[in-house]
Amino acid sequence: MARPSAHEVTQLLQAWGDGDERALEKLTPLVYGELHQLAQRYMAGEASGHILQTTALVHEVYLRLVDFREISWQNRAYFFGVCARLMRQILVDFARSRRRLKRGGESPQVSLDEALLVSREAPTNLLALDEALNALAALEPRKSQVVELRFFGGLSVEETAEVLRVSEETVLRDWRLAKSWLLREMSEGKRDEA
Amino acid sequence: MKLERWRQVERLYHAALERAESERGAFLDAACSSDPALRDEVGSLLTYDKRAEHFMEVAALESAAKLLAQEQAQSRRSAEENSALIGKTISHYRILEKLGRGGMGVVYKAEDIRLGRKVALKFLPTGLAGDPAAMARFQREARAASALNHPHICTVYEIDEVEGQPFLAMELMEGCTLKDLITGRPLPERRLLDLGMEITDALEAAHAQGIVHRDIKPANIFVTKRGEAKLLDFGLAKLQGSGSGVQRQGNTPSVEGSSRPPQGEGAEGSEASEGIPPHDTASLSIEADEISVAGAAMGTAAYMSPEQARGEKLDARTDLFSFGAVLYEMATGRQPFTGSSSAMVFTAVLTQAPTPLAWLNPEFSPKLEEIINKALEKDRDLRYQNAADIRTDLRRLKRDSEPGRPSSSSEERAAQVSVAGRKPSKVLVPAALVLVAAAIGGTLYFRSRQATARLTEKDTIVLSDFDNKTGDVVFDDTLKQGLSVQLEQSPFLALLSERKVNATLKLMGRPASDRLTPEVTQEVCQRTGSKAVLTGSIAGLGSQYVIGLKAVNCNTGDALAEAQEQAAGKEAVLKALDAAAVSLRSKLGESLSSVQKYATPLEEATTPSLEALKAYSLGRKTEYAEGSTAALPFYKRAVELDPNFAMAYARISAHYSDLNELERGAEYARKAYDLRAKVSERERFYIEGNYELWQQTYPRDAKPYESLGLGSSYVGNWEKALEEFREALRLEPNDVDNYVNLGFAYTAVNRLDEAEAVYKQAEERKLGGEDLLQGRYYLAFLKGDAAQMAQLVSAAMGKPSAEDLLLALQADTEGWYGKLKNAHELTGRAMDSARHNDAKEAAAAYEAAAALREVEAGSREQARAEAKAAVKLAPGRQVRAIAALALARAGDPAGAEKLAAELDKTFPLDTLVQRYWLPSIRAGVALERKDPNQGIELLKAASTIELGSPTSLTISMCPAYVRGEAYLMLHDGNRAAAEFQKFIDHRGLVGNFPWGALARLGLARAYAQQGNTAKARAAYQDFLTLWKDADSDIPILKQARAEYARLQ
Repeated sequence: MARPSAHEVTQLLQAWGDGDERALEKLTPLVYGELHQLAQRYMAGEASGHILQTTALVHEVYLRLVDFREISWQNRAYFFGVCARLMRQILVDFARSRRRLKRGGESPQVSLDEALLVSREAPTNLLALDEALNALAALEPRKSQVVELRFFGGLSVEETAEVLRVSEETVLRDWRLAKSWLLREMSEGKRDEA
Repeated sequence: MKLERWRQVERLYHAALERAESERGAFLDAACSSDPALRDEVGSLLTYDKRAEHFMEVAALESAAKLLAQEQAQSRRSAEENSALIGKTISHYRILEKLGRGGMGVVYKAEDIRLGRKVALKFLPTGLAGDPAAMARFQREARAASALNHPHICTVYEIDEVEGQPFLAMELMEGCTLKDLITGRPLPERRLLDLGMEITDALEAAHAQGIVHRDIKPANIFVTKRGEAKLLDFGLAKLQGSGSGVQRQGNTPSVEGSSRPPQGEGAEGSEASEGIPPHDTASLSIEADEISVAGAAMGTAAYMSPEQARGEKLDARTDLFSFGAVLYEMATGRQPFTGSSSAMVFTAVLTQAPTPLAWLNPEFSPKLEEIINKALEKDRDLRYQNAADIRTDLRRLKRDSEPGRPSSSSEERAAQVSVAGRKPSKVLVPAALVLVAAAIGGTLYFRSRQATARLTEKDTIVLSDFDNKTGDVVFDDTLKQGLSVQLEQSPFLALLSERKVNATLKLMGRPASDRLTPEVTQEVCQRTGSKAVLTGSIAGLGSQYVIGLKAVNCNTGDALAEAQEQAAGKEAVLKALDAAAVSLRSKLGESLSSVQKYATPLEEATTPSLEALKAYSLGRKTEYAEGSTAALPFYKRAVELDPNFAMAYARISAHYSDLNELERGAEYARKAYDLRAKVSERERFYIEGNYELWQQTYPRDAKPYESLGLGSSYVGNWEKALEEFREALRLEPNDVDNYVNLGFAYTAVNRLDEAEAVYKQAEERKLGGEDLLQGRYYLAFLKGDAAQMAQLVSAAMGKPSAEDLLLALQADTEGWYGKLKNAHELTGRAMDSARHNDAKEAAAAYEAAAALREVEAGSREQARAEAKAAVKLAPGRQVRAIAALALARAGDPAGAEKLAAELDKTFPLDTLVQRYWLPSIRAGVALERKDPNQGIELLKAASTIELGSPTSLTISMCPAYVRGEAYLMLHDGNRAAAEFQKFIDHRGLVGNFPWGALARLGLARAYAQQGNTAKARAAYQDFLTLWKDADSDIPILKQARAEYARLQ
């Protein structure tokens, strides 16, 4: 499949944001492509654990995918929201597909290469997080949105505040409580994922 | 859960977080006394707060990418492992069990069925077999190392391959690697030294044969159960290198900017003359999933030498650097160069100094730090040049730490070197593997390379205000202050002074307190001819903070260096700022040793309390904008918040001294002095008054010149004072004090025009009008410009820092002309004004000076009363000295002696007290007791410093005056005339203090004693003219008139 142009991607995103699920099929391979490239960078040693770099990284991906000139300033916040939601859906699907692949085979507890261990954090368990996040949304949608925008969308505190039209202080408070809540939910709730 | 309930949870959760961890339980108990379920809910969430610190730190996209990378790495491994099955026989080895996995492959325990011995078999990545030349080279090296038969080098028996699977058979050892041994904790010193000596021993033997390891790291050092070190994997690093070279060329499409030629590789082939074609590695084919080869090599980035990271040709000294990194890790449990990505690690290796050992593990001797630092020199020419030297230093350290213990025998074992035939050539390593990382970390790496011309010692940098994205005001100003304390420690960096910044802002038409945004700062930087702007930022991330520093060339906009640190919480912010500043300093080009020597951690250099630092910073800011009086409450708040805040005491002390509150100044100075261990090097020089060393260490600081100049002026060494003040002014032309001091020194040596020019210069720069009033007043007096004097006094009215001083000056002028009633009244006003500003000691000094004025005029009783009142008001050093002299002259020798004894006891080492004041006071007492000879004897001690300026007031030349009186008593007219003549000769120094006028009377009397009637008459006329409008009832005036009449 030919890679859609940035213009097309923008259109697709808008369509998906408007509820057109078919757009997702076209967007997923793009994100997967980026994912594989990133994985290769890890394998080659560009292990990152740095949050600012991460933000930059995700932005970099957006920039490659999307023609920002097409998006008006007013729509920027909305667009970031859509991107974050899209990322969440695709990445959680991705994690789910990985689990299927592993099933039946051994689940080796092999440590990563030294290079990968440079990063301090183990990958977050996306499936469990997704479920916990749904539970959090039932409790208070905004906190779940903060997490979606920051963690999945890679947005900075400032951008998150802009999208949600709240103060940065509020974002930081929401983020802190949400993290504790989600981690508890994931630790004390179901524990099936590796 | 209902929303309302959830809100309750949320509120309590955040409220609890605002409290210290230890107080949260009690807080929740109190807040939820009637609702245990609520307490449980919030309490349980709080237990997750800390654990969640790093949770979701890495964005989802990255997390997923890691998952993918992990998976691919796993599938590659299981493929490998399946190919080597336990129980199988490979070549003549029967595989018994899996031992573990190294960076290069899986290791099995096996039995050599031909020789019946147990061996370790290590399987290497299959792709390597495809390159016979690289394999051959590896074999040669590994065998050469084994052939050393060294007790601390693991012996390789055989290198072979079966069905394309290369493997090596080596000595089977029991134990673990050094990496497993360290696991984040420092080793005991003795263990470290023993292992270190053994490893250097092994390196020395290998290097002697031209074999360089190139991958010294804890994972490659085995420690046997008996505690012996064994170096593993000689020759392997090179094999890895060639493998990844291919990987780089063939399989990194996403990498851009990787056009750097693999120069090491190409050069190596030809220069090492091992018959390998220059582009041999290009023919090596490797499967895509061998990507881990590069990955494995990356893991060792932390131990790579700078030359290795740059892809340069290597020699044995690369191993010494890596060994230094291993030593560091043994000593601290931490790698010296870390980063969140390999590119960051490379940057650290290339540009940063590791955290000083002493911070991490103060238990080790500083000598060990020296050894490690020398091994970690980035310039290999400055590093240890051979392993033997390191071993010698380690041995010496061991001997010194355990006297009487026999030395290790490893020395003797080193000689068993027997491999011959191979020409010891410098072994060169391609380090192409490095290129992969370098290309990936492209921007960062190349940027720092381009910036090799970063800063020189002549460049000045300008700090902009911190970009505080946290919304927490405690960081406003605080971090900039902290950063400047940290950076100012560097003798290499010169920060544009706050004064200069403010002066430039003024030129730009901005208020001095204007916010220094990066744009404004850039303009300041350009206008002042500085080199770079340094911007800092802090952002909150959950409970974390990220601190970033960035230096940008303000003319080109090029980034010169960047540093970033994360802090786990508010308490850790200062530490993170420290780390970022230290890292930035070395990135900007400061030498490693300098960074380490002058890097007192902020928490020690200032205060561990953010709030106290905040108060202090506001104080500094206020002081620059409004003067020290306005800043005082901030400094006081700072020491309230942290009673150990040395610099805040020092500032308070300086403030009181400025106000002539010398005693209070001394009190705070003592507090600062007692706490001086808690300051940066420069601040310590300031507090200790160690100006000479200060000048040497920070030759661009004006402060030590100023202080040395003041010291010289106290003891009358005016030439030296002029020299120091001129230099201070040259270095800091925006500090009005430097004009005041220089102008006063010129005045003191009668160079009035030059003094005038200095004041003009200050005025042209629009520097502090009030501060110049005093100096200007002297000049006007000396030039006899009454109108200007009046103008200057009226200009000072209502200005707290100047009003009292000018009133006191005016009092002296009135006294000079014999108008003692006016003088008395003006002194009263000066005292009121001083007291109004809470400057009691200044008020007392004015009163004591008035007493001295009165006594010579003949109002002895009034003088005694004033002197005693002054001492009662504020018994400072200066007040007591002046009052004692007044009492001595006023017929209260007992009172004078009592004060003198106190001064003697309190200030046994004070030059001015011992050699100026005490001789003058005691000579005064001797005169009172009619013993002029003793007086003259006593005054000898003051002879070399009597032209000094010992007080904050105009009183000077006391010893000469008393000596002149003594000679008059002895009827030695010649000598008396010489003393009083000094007052005429040094009129600039004498200024307007009435003794200058009375000295004319003394001179007249001396001439009369000489019998020189003509001169005497002229001198009497001179005096009587000065006093023509004097109060008529002054005893001395009546006497003078009578004496003059007798001459007719």
